[in-house]
Amino acid sequence: MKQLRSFIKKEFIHILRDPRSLLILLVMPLLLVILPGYVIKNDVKDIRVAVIDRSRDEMTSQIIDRLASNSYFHLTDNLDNEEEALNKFKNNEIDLAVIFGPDFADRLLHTHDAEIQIIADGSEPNQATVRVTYAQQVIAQFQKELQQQAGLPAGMNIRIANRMLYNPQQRSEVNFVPGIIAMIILLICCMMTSVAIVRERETGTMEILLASPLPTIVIVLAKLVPYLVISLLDLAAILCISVFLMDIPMEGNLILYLAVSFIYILTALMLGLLISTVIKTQMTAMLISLLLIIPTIYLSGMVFDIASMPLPAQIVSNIVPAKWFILASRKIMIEGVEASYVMKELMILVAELIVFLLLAWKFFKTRLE
Amino acid sequence: MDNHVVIKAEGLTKKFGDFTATDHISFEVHRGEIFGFLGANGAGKTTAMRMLCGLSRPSEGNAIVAGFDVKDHYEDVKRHIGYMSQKFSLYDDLTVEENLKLFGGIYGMPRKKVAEMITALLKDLGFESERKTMVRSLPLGWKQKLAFSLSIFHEPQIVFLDEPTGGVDPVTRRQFWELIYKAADRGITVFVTTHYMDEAEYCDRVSIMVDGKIRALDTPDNLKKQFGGESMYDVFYALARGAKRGD
Amino acid sequence: MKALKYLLVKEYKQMFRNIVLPIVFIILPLAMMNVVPKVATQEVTHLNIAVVDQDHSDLSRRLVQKVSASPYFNLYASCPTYGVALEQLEKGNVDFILTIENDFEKNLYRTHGAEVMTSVNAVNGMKGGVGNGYLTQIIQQYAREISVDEGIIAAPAAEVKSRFLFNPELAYKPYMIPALMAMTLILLVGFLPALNIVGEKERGTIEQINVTPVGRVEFILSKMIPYWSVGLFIVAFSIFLAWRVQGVIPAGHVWEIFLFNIVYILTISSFGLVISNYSDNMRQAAVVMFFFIVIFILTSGLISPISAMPEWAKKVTLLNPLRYIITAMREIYLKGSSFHDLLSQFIPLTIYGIVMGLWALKSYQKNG
Repeated sequence: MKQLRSFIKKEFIHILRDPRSLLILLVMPLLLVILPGYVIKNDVKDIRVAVIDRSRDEMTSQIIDRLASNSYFHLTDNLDNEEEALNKFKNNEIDLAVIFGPDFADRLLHTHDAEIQIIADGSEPNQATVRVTYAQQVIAQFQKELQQQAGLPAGMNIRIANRMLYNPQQRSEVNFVPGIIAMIILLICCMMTSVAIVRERETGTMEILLASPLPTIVIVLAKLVPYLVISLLDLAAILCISVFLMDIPMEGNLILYLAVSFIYILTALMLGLLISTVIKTQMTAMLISLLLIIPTIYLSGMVFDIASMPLPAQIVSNIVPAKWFILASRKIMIEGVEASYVMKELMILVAELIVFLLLAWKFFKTRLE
Repeated sequence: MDNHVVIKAEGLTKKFGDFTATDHISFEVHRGEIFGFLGANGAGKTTAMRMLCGLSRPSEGNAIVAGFDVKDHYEDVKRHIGYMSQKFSLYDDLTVEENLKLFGGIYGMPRKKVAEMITALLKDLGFESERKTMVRSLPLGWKQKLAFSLSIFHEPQIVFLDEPTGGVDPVTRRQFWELIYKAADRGITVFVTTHYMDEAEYCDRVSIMVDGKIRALDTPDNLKKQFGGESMYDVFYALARGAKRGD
Repeated sequence: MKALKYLLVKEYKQMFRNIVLPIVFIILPLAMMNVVPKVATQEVTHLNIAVVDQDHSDLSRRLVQKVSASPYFNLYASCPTYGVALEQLEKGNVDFILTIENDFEKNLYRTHGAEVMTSVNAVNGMKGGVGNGYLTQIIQQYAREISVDEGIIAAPAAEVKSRFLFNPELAYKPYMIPALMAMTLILLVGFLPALNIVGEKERGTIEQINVTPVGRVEFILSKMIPYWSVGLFIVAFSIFLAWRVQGVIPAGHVWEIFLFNIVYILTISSFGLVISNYSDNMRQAAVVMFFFIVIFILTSGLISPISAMPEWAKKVTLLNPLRYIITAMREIYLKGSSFHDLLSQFIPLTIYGIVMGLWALKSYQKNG
């Protein structure tokens, strides 16, 4: 046991001697928790709108006034033709153009075929759709009031009571934090661990350790301990900041959450160990880890919704450990469900942990022989 | 400057924060000489050598190497010297020939001459069959010999060798010193650090560093007389015993 | 400059002797262009919805039909009670619940007003918000429709037509692909240079170079040029894949894409070399570079539009080279903007590139 302790101590010294990396490993998670809350936003605001008014009458100027006074819109120009608008679109100066057809007031009141056209920059589809919807709403509201002024009856009305469950303000960080934790743990446990072991083999010091009377498994596990500790420290720091500073809910059982996280950390460590047994150089270990982190960002549901992916991608996403961790975390942290609701996720993580461990052990043995 | 003096250090000093690795050392090395630079680990040998090679800037003092001062004209110094570091530092993912071609090219030697010299060199070393071998798969002794040959490949005035024989067997060490003598015969000045006291005996003159300072400098015979020892080991031990620094 | 040729031969040999690197140069663009655009989509369609219809009337059934006929929703279950539906939501089977009150039809006929409730799993705020928007639209549209059908109101006097420029089908692919090219590049020609010089430091080979009279400029160029060529290959390969596999072709000129990427690769490879020059070991370089890559990606407009960020965050994005290349690439691909239109992206990116290039040169110390 004394030897084991000294092995672990040696690993810690390696890490502490590199304060720059350590600082980043501890600061990066905090920044990654705080930053997305501000920068990952899909709010539609400050819609820059230009107007092409071919009528210039009472009605069009009323609609334009409404757009201008609406807080979502920012009226930029009065243009003469579509050509000008196209140039503005290309220069990225406007998001919408509203075009009024000729004789607007007259046709609105008498022939009922007045023309309004909304042209939008469709580059970013969601933003474009929402911007157009907002403009349509302003115009629809105007028409409704016009009809009421004329004493026409109001139509049937379906009132909508809306409940936004779990995340009423639809804050992106609520969705993001469990994913960030998953990625940080993968970075520390997978990349750092595999590189540390490969480095030891590259410099030949691994041989010396393996020649010691301790069982191989103990030596290998000793190398994993510091990364386990750093992961837990990061987890604690992220949780504190999330809950106390960012107001991320912790609706469910904290112990249950920590248990799930612990299993996930172990799974990631085993993955790192597995990489280190197959790979020979530090550079390759880093590239492989990087290539594992990228699919995790995409396929874990951290940023992109798994349900809207094509079926093959959904199937592949099932082998990504982070997917199950994120699913379970969201359920526990945000929805506050009971343990029985996350059993499936937990079981899959444990199964992956065992598979990685067995594979790593197998490769490790064949290497030694 | 004296035509025979190829290295002249005056008060050469390197400080890292409040630690003085090399403390105002002054000495001269003559053309064609094999100059041994001894000292315990941490005595400041490698630091001093790195300053002379223009790899590290002196904090105080200066040195003239091959006619240029190392403080301001270190790039000129580099054209006239060769260097073999303590740690094997050839590209192990390049072949023997590719390494030689690379460094020949870096020193601006004509391609044809490089090709001829490589053939001659490999024949000399008995390495002909290893021309296209990846350096990583050579045994350590061969690597060292190759690294030395490479450091004098461009015919420098002076070659700096930092513990060139670390970790190799006695037979290879012997062969290695034969290479050093050959180089010295060609007029190349050899500046070598070593741990092995028997190797110190092979040098024309020897300096011994303790705690960043040069404590003795003379021919091995004179040193033995001066310190009343049987061998260089006794001389070294007498001086190094008082060292404050070390492993 | 004669030594440069020899140094380049060495760099290329080392690059292609590594078994993994050349494979990665092919695999990563393949994955980024073929797989990621299908996965990295923020298109909100086929949202699973559960309906609790307590009225079972003609009008309520017509509303349910409207919802399930919409391309945005997929009617997953009809539940007898709200409780049953909520359980489906907790299990993660549905993200939306539409509850129609008991006397929906009766109230509509009698008072011209009735109530429905939408419950949304808003953990993913974007999906919840956009989906709820669609649901609201469908319900309002339906109310107007039945009002017209019942002869209560006349059809609106002005029909609003809308049209989307540049991306008429409102697809995510042509929006994501140009940005993914920039991301592929930073992962390879940003990350690898960061490991390069420090790798030579760790192996000690840099000493042997530093003791030669080789020039700083030559040495740094020998590190940069290979990544430039690899980067431009990746750009060409990605453009080809986007065209053949995804059917996405730039509306603008291909030379604009290359011109921008030449400057962009200079910027990120220099950035990598700067980090490499200041790092003590490969692991440190990797961690620092990874840190910057993640921050750059988050603030580049790749995941969410810059226009939605708060003002201070918008200012921070000005320090991000990815922001310029992604904006420019999207404008070239989608809008076919002219080079003149893109100067506002090109000038800051070029300044960034020059500063980084000089810094890479300056931070390489042959004589410490």
